[in-house]
Formats: sequence, C-alpha cells, structure tokens
Amino acid sequence: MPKLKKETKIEYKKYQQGDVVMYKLNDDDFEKYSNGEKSDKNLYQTVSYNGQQTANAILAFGEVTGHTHRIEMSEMLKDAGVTLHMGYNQKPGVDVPKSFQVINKPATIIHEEHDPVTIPPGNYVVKIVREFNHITRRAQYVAD
Amino acid sequence: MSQIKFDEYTHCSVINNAKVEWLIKHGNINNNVFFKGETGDRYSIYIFIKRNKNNVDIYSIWNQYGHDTDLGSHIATLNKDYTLKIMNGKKWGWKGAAGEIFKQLMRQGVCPYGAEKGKDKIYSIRYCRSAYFVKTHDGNEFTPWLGMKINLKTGLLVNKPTREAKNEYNTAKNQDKAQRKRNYIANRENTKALNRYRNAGGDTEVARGWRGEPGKGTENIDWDMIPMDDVFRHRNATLRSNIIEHYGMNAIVGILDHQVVDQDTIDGRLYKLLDVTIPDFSDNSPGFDGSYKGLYLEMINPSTGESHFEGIPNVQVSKWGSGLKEATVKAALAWRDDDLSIMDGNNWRNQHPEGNDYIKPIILK
Repeated sequence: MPKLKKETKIEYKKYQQGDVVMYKLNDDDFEKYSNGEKSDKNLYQTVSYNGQQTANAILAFGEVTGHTHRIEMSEMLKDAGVTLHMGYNQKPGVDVPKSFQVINKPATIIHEEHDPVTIPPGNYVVKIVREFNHITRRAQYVAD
Repeated sequence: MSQIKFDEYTHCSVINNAKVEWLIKHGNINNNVFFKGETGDRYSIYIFIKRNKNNVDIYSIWNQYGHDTDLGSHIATLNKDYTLKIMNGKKWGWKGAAGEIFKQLMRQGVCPYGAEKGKDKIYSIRYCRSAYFVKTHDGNEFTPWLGMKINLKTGLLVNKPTREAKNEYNTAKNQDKAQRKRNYIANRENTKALNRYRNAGGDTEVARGWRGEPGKGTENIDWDMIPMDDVFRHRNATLRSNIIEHYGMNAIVGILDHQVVDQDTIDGRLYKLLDVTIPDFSDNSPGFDGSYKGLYLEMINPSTGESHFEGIPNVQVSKWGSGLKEATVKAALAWRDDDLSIMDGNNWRNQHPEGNDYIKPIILK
C-alpha cells in the first residue's frame, strides 16, 4: 500500500458546558471542519448571526427538556458575530453544528442547567460527549 | 497491448459493461479496456486484458495523487462462458478482500445484465458487521472468498464456499443476530422505564427547569413505582440524574456488586471510576447468570452539583474497537470527550485513550 502522509498532532484549547465540548483551533487546522466555498450550500449550510439580532445561535438541543446550549445574539455588541457550519444535510437550531466561529467579540454560551461559559473569538469544533451503553455494547451521544 | 476504441461499443446483453462484453466476444489477444474506480474507490484503476481467446484477466492498480503508481494485482478472471473467478491479488490479501473485489467489479458493471433494473438472475451484496454477504436469486447467501467462481449468465455460484468462507459468514451472521437482539432489548427496556417514569407521575417534557428550580417535573412522582436499577435502563441522562438525585448514588451502587477502580480530583471535583456488575438484559441463554461487568464514571455537574453516572467502555485488549487503554478516570474522560479524534485530526480510527490523553478544559461549567 502507498505510504501514508505523516500525521501531526493538532493543538487546541478546550471549553466545556455540560455535554457540549468546544475545541478552539487555529485557522489552518480549522479549515477541514468549516464549510468551504466549494460545499453545496443546500446540503452544507453556513449560517451567520450578527450582534443585536433576536435569533439565538443554537449549539445543542435537549431532546427531553427542550433546553438549549445557545448564544443569545441580542446580548452581544453590534459588531459581534457568530457563524455556524452545519454538517451534511443538518439544520441550524435542530442539529449540532460541525463547527462555529466567534467573530470580533467574546461570546457567552448559556443553558438552563449550567453556568454561562464565555469563550474568546476564534474557531471552534463542537462535539457532544459520549457514553457507553453496556446493554447494546455501543457508544452513544449523551442525551438530555 | 492496445486499448480498443470502446466508445463504439454500447450494446450489451450478458453483463452490464458493454466494453468488457465486447472484449470477451470480439477482442483480440492483448486488447484491453480500463476504467477508473467509482466514488469511494477513485484511486483504483481496473484493467481488463484479453489473455487468450477464452479468458480476460482483470487487474487493479492503485494510483493516488502524491504517491507512486503501484504494480497491478491480478484480482479476477472472466472466461468466455462468463464465469468470474476471484483471484488472490497480492495487494488485496486482507480478510474481506474477495468481497471488496467482487463489490467493486459489480460497480464496474461486471455483473449480470439488467441487475440495476431488478431483472432476474441478479445478486446483491452488502456489508454486515465483519463480512460481505452476497445473496443470489435462488436464495443462497454466502461470504465471497478468494477462488470463488460465479456465473454471470445464470447469476449463480459455480463452486461451493470453502470452510473458511462459511465460518466467516456464520461468525458475522451470529454477531449481527446478537447485536440486533441487544439493540432490541435496550430499546424495549428504555421504553418500559420511560413508561414507568410517566405512570409514576414524572414529567418527561419538563424534566428539569431553569436553575434555581431543581426537581421541576418530579414533584408528583410516586417513587415506589420506579425501581433503582432503572438508572441502567434509561437512555436519557436527565431522567437518570433525577433517579440518582432521589435515591442517592450510594444507595443505587450499593445494590450492585462493584468496586472503585480509580478516583481522581480535578478542579476540586471528585470523579470515581467504578467497575459495576450490572443486570444483563441482553442474554437469556441457559447457564448465563444474567450479569455483566462494565465501567461507569460517577461525577458531579459543576454548575448544579447533581450527580451523573455514565457508562464507559471497558479496557480494550484487542487492537480494534474503541475501549480504554487503562482503567483510570482521566482515560475515561478522554474517551468521553473524544479528545483523540480532534488531536489526531480524524474521527474514524480505533482509539484507546490513556490518562495522558485527557486535556483539561480551560472552562468547565
């Protein structure tokens, strides 16, 4: 088989609010997690939110409680922004974005059952923590 | 060798690839046609060469940008009776290679004519757990093997599966049955637990309110109707947490045989990794004692102080899978947060985290 390209470890900083983990990456490492220019915009949605909008940038949605990990844009300054990069065929507000960018100003993520987390501007990859179901012997995302 | 001008040949009646069919019927010795692999197989090139008047040899070449092009591997032979024989290609020597070769050749149209139109004399292929399953139109199902012969006119096997191929098929089939049973039982137990929770007066729609209103949705619960071990049945972490809040973690763990295998204090919060013997609902075979040992992580929500109890895979001995490398709290947290997939820049590799792999969050709320 052909030689595989030598892999380099990616450096990141980690922020966590409950079951949502956010990894802050530099621009180069983030490129593969963002929806580039060539992506099909219908299948890979990129949604931008500006400061003073009433909409919330939702990072995760609780299936039973209906509670959300979200950034309330109305609480942010006018020149602040958040861009969500959704994965294949995923919808903002329903699915967990693949990644997101915080632009110009720090953003505060709030949730009903957790203290707020303020993160600096930058590029973030989002993951939901996993748990192991010993009945099915399979890993699953934590659902709340 | 010369590549035939195959654009002129568009009619086929036996197999789905008109050029290959033409090569078998009318090609001269050393005539050849070649095709690029389909989606997901783009680095492969398939070359069909007429070796003599009765046989066409099929080779595959790996040709990836940035890498050398390798020497071809002889992967199959197709004779004038349209019998396809899967060969032992040197680059395809791994377990499951025969199935992969067979599938990719099907995608190149080396399969009975009209297969895509749902006509008779077709077969289907799928990957199931650890092996490929091919099903022919007479109902015969098997795992392809190196040396397999199948007739593309009749769509039926010519020779019988080897003992190894049968074993591979049976192993995958049994794995599939066991997994389907586990999934079914897990869903059934989750549904039963959910119904018990609702019948006892629990509100699953508003399981918890805003911070400062703990216990919202649990005020009217008749806890006698909810057994402690429903903690192991619920899939939803909030409902599990509510049950733990009522009974207390010590009481729940106390009813089960367990031992604390590791404990650690991170940012002033105590984490415990427990090896718990839990009821195994998925196996009711005779002689089985109905229990299973599994790792669980006990931790505190830093914002509310509530207890959480989440399953963690056991220490993985084999190379495959994604269990822990060591039974420590930090290895469990690294697995839980999936730290390695970000660190290595991929999501697919089998990973076995250890304690050093855990990256502590700058903020954890």
